Amino acid sequence: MEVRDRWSEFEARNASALVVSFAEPEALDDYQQYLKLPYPIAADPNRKAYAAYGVGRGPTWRIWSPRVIWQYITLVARGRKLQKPRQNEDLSQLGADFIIAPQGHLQYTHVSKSPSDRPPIDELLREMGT
Amino acid sequence: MIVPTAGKPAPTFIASLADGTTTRPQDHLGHPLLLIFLRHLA
Repeated sequence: MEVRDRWSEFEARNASALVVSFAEPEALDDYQQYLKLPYPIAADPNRKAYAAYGVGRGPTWRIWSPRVIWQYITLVARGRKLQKPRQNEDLSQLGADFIIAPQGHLQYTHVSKSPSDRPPIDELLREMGT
Repeated sequence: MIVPTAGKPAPTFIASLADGTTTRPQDHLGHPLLLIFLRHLA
């Protein structure tokens, strides 16, 4: 969401984005409408893209670390209603952030160690240059 | 799994875009991949 909130800064760097989720395609449309993300969401329920990018599952002790639990508590305190995962959704699957240069090679990679481990937006912008 | 490092070609894949067939709001994406593509400057 932080990326969405600062999307104009990404656009200023001539970037586009794609979010890949392991949720089923039909689960994502309302999410897209709700959040009004300025970039598309792709469904990858078989996690082929995750595998292609080498992004696997995290150990339970990291997935449910105190920091992650605190993050969920904060979300609930802000009014977010948490839902149980849908069938086949694997909460141990980690996420990641990649920046892909115009020539198609990876310029930046960050694979999360836990659900709360995402790179700072400023770091992404810095990697993209001015 | 082996994460491709910076400087390597980005892996390609085929995925389905959200198709608008659900009625139940989804308030999380699981733990997504965020792919940011830089375009050539005109």
